[in-house]
Amino acid sequence: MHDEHSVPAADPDSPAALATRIAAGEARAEARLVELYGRVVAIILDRHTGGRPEAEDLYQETFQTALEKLRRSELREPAKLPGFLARIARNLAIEHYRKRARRRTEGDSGVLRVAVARGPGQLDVLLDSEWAALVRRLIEELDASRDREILFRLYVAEEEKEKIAADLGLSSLQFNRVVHRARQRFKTLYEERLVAGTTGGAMIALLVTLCY
Amino acid sequence: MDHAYVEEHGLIERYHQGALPPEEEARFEEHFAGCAQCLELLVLDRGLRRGLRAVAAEEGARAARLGLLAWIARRSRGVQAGLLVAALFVAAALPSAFFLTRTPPGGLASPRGDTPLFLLHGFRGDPGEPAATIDLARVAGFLVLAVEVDDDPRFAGYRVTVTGADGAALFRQADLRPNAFESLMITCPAGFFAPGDYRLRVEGVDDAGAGVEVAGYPFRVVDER
Repeated sequence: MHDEHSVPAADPDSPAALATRIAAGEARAEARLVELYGRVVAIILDRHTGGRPEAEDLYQETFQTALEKLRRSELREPAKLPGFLARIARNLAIEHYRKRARRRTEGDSGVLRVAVARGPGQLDVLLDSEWAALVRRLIEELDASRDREILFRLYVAEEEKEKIAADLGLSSLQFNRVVHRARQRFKTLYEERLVAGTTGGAMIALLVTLCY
Repeated sequence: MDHAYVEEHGLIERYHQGALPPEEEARFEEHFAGCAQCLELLVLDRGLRRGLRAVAAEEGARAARLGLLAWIARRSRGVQAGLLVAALFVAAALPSAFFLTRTPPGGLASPRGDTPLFLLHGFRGDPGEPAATIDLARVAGFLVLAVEVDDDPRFAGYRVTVTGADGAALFRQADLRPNAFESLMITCPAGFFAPGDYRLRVEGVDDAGAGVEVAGYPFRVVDER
């Protein structure tokens, strides 16, 4: 992934260069686009689909739409390639649910369509178990049960942080510090696992790549 | 969009919660699509969220097996959230209490984080077989007996009596009030109980000192080492 403001123009994978290479018909550049921005698109679609299986189809559709436009040089400012991809993913997801809502409202067949959500895939289950292992270590290291409660209520119960802070008699600054510390420690644990050179480290890196 | 703004407005967690207004959400997506730093934070924050949920689900299942969730569900809404968190981590702590080697109590001079909690079910009259079993092999040092009690305004306090199979009183304490979890909790050294059948009786005591049995809680203690 590249920050458009900090990558030298000579970088063939910079957004502008990538867009130009695709417009010139370079097949390898198309593969690089997916490699570099697949995770961005997956995160956006995960957010808008709530992790539902249709995210997989929308992922394919996003890159298909983007590549068609790029081949026709329809991106006026090639340096804005990342934002362009984000917009396509977002709009496709929003349009997908609009269409589905219309179909339900019109009820053309008179038969109620029931969407059956599939369970999480095996890779997701594996990745969750890796995250859970890191979280268990994080929980063990937390000094106070209060900090555990904050994490649980913020991330699992999804309560408003203002309410949690008020319940626990914490200022906004104190609350943010607790969450920041936990996040930083989680990041360190994740990085340690990645660089440990173990099978588990390779596993989580692969899973994160495949699942996002 | 700069990183101070992202941090200050909590965009990372609000994005995952779907709590950003649509325009701001769209702007943030266009930002992180080209920002390695924010992308990494998003991946990690999502990992933390998924990991916590996975742990909560695992511990929730364990807590349900222990009856903790049903117990929490009967509490007032005001204490449910705190109890749920507490119960999840009580449940998480139980295996270490259950499967670590038995250690001498050593008094309560220092805090302990692995004390198992046993929820006792109340009965009026004789229920026959005790509904709860405590295996001393799974208790390291201390155990907590918990019974749910409504704070009945007719009573000035509650009295707890533990009797053995022969009906002899082994422990008695008066002037108790339900705690914030709407329960009475009695901490006992594991060595207090020999294997056998016991009954914990809770009486409401009025201002005149007259006691009325509220419920009885039969339990069995075994040692399967």
